[in-house]
Amino acid sequence: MKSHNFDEPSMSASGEAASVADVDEEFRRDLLDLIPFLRAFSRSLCGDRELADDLAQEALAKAWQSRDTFRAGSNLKAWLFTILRNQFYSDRRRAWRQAPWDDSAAERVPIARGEQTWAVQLSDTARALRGLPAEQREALILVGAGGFSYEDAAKISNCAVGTVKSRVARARKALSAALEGNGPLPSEPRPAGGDATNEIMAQLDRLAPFDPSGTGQGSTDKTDPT
Amino acid sequence: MIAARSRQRAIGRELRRMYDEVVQEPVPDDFLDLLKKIDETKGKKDGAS
Repeated sequence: MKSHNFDEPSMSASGEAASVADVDEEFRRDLLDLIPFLRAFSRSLCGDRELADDLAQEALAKAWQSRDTFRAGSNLKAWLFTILRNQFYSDRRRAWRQAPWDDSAAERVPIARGEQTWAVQLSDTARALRGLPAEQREALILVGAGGFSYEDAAKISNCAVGTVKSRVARARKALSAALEGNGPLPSEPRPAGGDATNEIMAQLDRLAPFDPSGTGQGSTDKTDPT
Repeated sequence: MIAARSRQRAIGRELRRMYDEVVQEPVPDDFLDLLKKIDETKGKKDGAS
């Protein structure tokens, strides 16, 4: 009998209890590795950071408690996202359903926390994203940002592949129209020394509908290249 | 057409940027402690029954 490394789950019948513990340990580490993605998906559904983390923690707890129902070899990330999504929709009275993307709530969040949250950062895309029906927002995030295939997104959203495709298409169209409403995206060369992100941020700054400070510095970048 | 396509590309980049920004955030400690707490609670319950 050899002690096995957690990286090499052994199928040998060298003691049921030890084997289960190993599988659990591996599963636990896999789950922990996925927390950043779970938080990102949750934030995209809820908008608000605190609510999103509450929801993500609930989903994580549920996933851990129902780990026996996970089919080994299938997509753990999709499984985890499915749990989160079901939690999100399961009880409409819950806070994250009650006040998703609420403007007044967003304004109550202190901005000077040294952290950018979707609710307070509000790029034009984020603003437009907020206006989408939850199902469209979810489909667009899964496919457009989360890197899921239409098939996996359909499984997570418990709908047909065609439905996901149509939700993504409608979401893209709506976002595009919303941004167009603010004026055409400038197709100017990127700012000198800027990377792709700076370019986008610069574009979005130019598109900002209002600028209370009047300085044209709509975004508070945490990194200063100087 | 070209303007619409470049707008779609900009939207795609911005979506990924927002998502990745959260992914890059350090995971709050309470997340990491969560599974441990669940096991401890369960352990107590199992022990009591």
